[in-house]
Amino acid sequence: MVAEAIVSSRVAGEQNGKPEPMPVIDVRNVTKIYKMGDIEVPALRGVSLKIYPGELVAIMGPSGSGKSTLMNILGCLDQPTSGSYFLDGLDVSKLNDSKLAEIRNRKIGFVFQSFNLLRRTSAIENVEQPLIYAGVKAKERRARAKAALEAVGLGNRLDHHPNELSGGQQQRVAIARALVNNPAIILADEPTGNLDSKSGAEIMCIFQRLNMERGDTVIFVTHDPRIAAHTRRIIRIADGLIVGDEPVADPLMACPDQPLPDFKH
Amino acid sequence: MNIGIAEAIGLALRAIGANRLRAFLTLIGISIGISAVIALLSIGTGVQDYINNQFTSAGTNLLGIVPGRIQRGPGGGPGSFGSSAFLTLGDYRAVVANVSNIEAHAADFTSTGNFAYESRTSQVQVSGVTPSFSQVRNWRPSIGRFIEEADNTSRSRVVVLGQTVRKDLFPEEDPIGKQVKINGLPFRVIGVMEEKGASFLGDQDAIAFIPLSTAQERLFPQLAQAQTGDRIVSTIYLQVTSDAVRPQVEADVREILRERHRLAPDDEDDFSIISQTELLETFGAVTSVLTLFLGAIAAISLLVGGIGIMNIMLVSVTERTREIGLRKAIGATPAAIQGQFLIEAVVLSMIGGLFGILLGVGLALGVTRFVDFDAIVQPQAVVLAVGFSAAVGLFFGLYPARRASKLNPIEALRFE
Ligand SMILES: Nc1ncnc2c1ncn2[C@@H]1O[C@H](COP(=O)(O)OP(=O)(O)OP(=O)(O)O)[C@@H](O)[C@H]1O
Ligand SMILES: [Mg+2]
Repeated sequence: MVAEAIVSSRVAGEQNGKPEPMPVIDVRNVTKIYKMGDIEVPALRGVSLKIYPGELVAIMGPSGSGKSTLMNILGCLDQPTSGSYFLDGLDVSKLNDSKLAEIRNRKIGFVFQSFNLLRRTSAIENVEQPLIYAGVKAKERRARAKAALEAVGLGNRLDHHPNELSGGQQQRVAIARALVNNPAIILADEPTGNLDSKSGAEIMCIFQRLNMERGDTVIFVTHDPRIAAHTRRIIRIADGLIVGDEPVADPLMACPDQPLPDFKH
Repeated sequence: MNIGIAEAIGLALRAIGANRLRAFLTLIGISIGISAVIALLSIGTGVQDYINNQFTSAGTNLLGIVPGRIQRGPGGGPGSFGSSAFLTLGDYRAVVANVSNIEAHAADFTSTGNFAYESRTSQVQVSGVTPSFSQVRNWRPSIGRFIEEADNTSRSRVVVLGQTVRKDLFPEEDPIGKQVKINGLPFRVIGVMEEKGASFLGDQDAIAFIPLSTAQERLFPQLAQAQTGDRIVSTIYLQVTSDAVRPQVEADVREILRERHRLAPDDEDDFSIISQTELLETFGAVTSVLTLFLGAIAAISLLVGGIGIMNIMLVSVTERTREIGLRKAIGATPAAIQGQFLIEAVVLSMIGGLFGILLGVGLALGVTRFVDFDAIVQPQAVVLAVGFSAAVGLFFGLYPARRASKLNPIEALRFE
C-alpha cells in the first residue's frame, strides 16, 4: 500500500510533460512547540524544506537552534505541532504510533551520536534488529545483515560485541543497521560528534560511498564545518528557522583510494 | 507488525540471561508457590489412593459398631467419643442372630497389655477376638495360625503376635511355641500376623491377639465385666453381603441395639456404626485441612512471586529505557514492545514454574518417604502448574510491559 502511494506520487510529479523528481522529504511550514508547564518553548517556528532522492545534506546551526527537533520530526520519532510532512509522498504528520513505527522501520535509517548499539549483542545481531521487526526470516536476515556490515567495511567483525569495537567501528555497525532495510532516507544526528577526526572521516567516506554508489539519501547534523564540507548542500538553522540553504561547490572527498566493497541487496 | 514468538522468546531468554542472579532471586517466590501446588496435588492424590487401598485391605463392605457416639466436630471433622455406654456379648449375639445379609462377623475386646519375654518387654494393644476376626479384617498370620474356635471355648492362653511386639520380644528367635507373659499371665505363642504397616490410625502392627473369652474372663475380668453381668466387647464387626444392603443392615442393627439398650424414641444412639463411607468423609475433612493449608502457601507464594516479577520487570524497563527507545526508533511498534516484555515476564515466571515442579515433586516424594503412602504426580498437576506460572507472569507482567510500550522514543533515547 505504501509502495503504491510512492509510485503514484512519483508519477504525479510530472509537469509540462517534463518529469520533475519528487522530493523524498517535503516539509511545509512545520512548527514544534514544547510545553514545559505554563511555559511554551518554540523549537521550530515554521520550517519548509524539500530534499530530493540521492542528496547528501548537512544541517548546521548553533546549539539549541532546533536541529535535533527537526531531525526527530524527519525521522518520524516526533510529530510537528503544526504544518505537514510528506515522506516519500506519504503524509506522515497525522499517523498513529503503530503506523509511525512501521514507517520508521521501512523508510528511515537512524544513526545516533552515541551509537545506541545493544550491549552483549554481536555486530551482526545488532544489524539484524530492524529486520526482526520487519518480519524477515532468520536466514535472510543473517545474509542481509552480513551484506550491510560488509558494505561499511566490517565484514571481518561480524561476531564482535560493541565493547570489542572502536568508536568508529561501532558507528559503522550503527550505519549498517540504518541501511539494512533499504530505507528511503538515512538520518544522522551528529554521527561524528563522539569520534576523533580520523574516525569521523571514515564515517564521511561511508556516507559518500552510500550516496554515490547506491544513490542513498543521507541527511546529517554536524557542528564541524570540515565535516559539512563533504556534502553537496548545507542547510543552516538558527532559532528554529532555516536561515541558509546553499550548495557546496567543491565537496571534499573523504575516502582513501581503495574503494569499499559493493553493497549487494 | 509483530515479531514471531520464537524471536520474542529468544529475546526474553537473552534478557533474562543477562542478569541471572537477579532472575534467580525473583524466581524463588514463584518456585515455592508452584512447588506447593505440585506437592499439594501429588500428596492429595496419594492420600486418596492410600485411603481407598486401606479400606480395601481392611475388608470390603465392613461395618464397625463401637460404643458411644462419635461426635462430629464443628467443621465436619472427627470428634471424640462421648458417652460411657458399652456393647456386650449379648448385643453381639442378638445382632448376628437377627440381622440378615451378614456374610461374616467378629467381635473383639481390646485393652493394653504389658508383654515380657525373658528380659525383653513391650507394651502394645492386646485384643481378644473371635476366630472370624482374621477373615473379616482381611488380615492373616504369616507364620503359625490364628485363634480358633477351640481356643475360645477352652479360654486357652494362646497368643498371635503382631509384627511390632514380635520384633520387640523376638528380634532373632522363632517365637512359635515360646511362652510370653502378658500382664504377668503366661501365654503360648501360636502365630505371628503379617505386617500391616503404619496408617493414619497409627502403627497397626502394635497389637497381639488372644481368644475373646480369654481376654474377657482371664486377662481383663474386671474391665470386661458389665454391671448387668454380661461381658463387654469393644467392637462388633459385620461384613455385609454387598454395599447395596448396607443401609438396611445399619437400620436393623440400630433398631436392635436401641431396643436392647432401652433408649427412648428421642434419645440419641449410645453406639456408632462406622462404615467405609463415613471414614472416607472424616479423612476427607482431614486432608481438606491439609489442602487448605498448602493451598494458602501456594496462593501467598504465587502472589509474592508475582509481585516480585512485576517489580523486577519495572526495574528492567527502567534500566533498558534506552534499549526500548532504540527498538522503537528502528521500528518496534508499541504492541511489539509490550509483547516482548510480557513474554519476558511469562518466560521468567515459567522458568520459576519449572524449578517449582522439580521442587514440588522432590518435596512430595521426600515427605512420603516417612509415611506409608506414595505421592502420585499426575500429568494434569504439571500442566496446571505450568499454566499457573504462565498466568502469574502474564498478569504481573502486563503493567510493566504496558509502561514500556508507552515510552516516548525520544525521551527514552535521551535517558541516562
Ligand atoms: N523535550 C523538550 N522539552 C522542552 N524543550 C525542549 C525539548 N527538546 C528540545 N527542547 C528545546 O528546544 C530547543 C531546540 O532543541 P534541539 O535539541 O532541537 O537543539 P539542537 O539544535 O539539536 O542543539 P544541539 O546542537 O545542542 O544538539 C532548545 O531550546 C531546547 O531547550
Ligand atoms: Mg541536537
